[in-house]
Amino acid sequence: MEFDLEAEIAAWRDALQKANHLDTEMIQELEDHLRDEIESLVQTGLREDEALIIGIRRLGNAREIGRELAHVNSDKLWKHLFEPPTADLNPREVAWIVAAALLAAFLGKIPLLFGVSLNDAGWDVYARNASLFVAPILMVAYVLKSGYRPARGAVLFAAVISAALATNLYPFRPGSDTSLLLALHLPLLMWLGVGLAYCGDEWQTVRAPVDFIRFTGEFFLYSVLILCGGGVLTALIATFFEAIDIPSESWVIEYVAFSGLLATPVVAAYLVEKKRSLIENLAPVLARIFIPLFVLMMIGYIAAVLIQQKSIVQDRDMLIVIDVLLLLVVGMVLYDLSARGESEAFSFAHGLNISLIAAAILIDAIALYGILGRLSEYGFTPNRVAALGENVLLLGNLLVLGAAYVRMARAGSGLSHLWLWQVRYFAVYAAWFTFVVFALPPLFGFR
Amino acid sequence: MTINRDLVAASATPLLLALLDTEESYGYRIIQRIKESSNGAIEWSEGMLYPVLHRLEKRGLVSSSWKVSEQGRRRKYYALTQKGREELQRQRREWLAVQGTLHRIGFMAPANGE
Repeated sequence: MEFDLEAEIAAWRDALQKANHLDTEMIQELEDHLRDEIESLVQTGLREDEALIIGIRRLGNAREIGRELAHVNSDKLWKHLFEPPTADLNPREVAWIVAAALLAAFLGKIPLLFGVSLNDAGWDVYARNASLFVAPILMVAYVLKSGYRPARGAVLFAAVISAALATNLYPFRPGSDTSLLLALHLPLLMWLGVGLAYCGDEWQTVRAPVDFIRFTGEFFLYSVLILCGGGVLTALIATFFEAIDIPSESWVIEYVAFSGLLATPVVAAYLVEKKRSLIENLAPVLARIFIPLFVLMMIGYIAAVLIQQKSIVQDRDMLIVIDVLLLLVVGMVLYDLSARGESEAFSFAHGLNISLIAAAILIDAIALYGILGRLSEYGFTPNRVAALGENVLLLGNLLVLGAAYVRMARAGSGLSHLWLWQVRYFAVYAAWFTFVVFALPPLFGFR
Repeated sequence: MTINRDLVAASATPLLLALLDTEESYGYRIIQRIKESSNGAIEWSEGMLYPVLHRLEKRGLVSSSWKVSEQGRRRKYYALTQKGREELQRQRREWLAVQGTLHRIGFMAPANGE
């Protein structure tokens, strides 16, 4: 095979970008340096491929750069290498984020205008509407940022309005199953809407949706971290005020916890973009710890089921547990993949992902085999229809992923084919979520 | 002869400031220049140079600009700023003080060549 210097340099650049949080300018600078090095080595009589190897070796990878500098200088000089130049918070941006977070908290007070307060009776009104307080703000922000065509923005707007109307005009009985299902599915539908806004006019390409998957994973991790911190803060505030005999439970929940909850997604979305490198390096590590553990656990479970000869579906709600498991598997695999380069060749990590997918499909197949026969016996309830639908949906997703993976392993091709199918599959999700939100409640008489 | 790491690290900033005072330059050339000027005694690694350059830029002592090299590539050049020249003056006085002390204390006495 002929040696292609440009391709080799591009691969080196990709690797550098992925392994370290260097910004593009820094990488461009290092690339220029590498080319200088190669040119001068070629002039001394080396071949291009030899010069490339020596040049890269001299440049070292940036991880070594960091380590070396930690020794050389106690001034923690190396930290400056890793600090993106825009790391300082821009006061104007911060003002916007604070305003957006406050707006979310204010939107959350709209039900009060209709005399619905956050108590036992009003609880499910808030639960159903929760995503409507936040997601539109994110959509507007991304629509503005990505330079959306107004027509498409209007379609998105109309979709949000119709969801809001359905959510609040459907005559739900308080605490009914269909109400809870809507409360669970509307955020997912809204999130797909945020995704459309996020991808802007590039939503038909593969790159933008994949970027949104990565965004979703990081958004999730950031939200969890912020909520943990917020929970501790809220508990402390309540305890302190109780200690001086100021009853705090009601206003702490109504204002502090409530606004905090609504502000979290806004802040998390901002942080994902701003402090990208922080989580970007944490999440793949988490994935690499947990994927093997999940594989082991699931194989153990399958073995136990086979040995015990018992039906997996002892409990009629087992399907929901299995749904959660499948969701986790799909989420982990997609997130792990989104953090990888598109041209990455097949490797051990991919093998692990495949075994994860295969084990999940197997467990689901056993569960479905057990439950389908008894479904008529149990009777159709909204929850069971939703759980079954989700299950089929996730199983389909796993099959798509598995098939694309097998093809990738056979053809030795990159991930682009897999992503193409995954992105298409999101349309199936959107259709199902729309069904659960708009059609399921009337079908079951809002019970 | 090679110089130990601590001394290389300590002299990095003054050398850089002084070099950029004479000419605008870029990473690869800076390393070459320092190597030539020290007869090979000081060989900076890229892993050391770039962080120092970027820190100096952050402190406003050097400024950078993208230009096109003779080979037609985009290349980042660094130049000394006014603030950098002042810092160079300050550091020069410090080094002269150290050098003078070394001299007077007899450290440099057996000047019978290398």
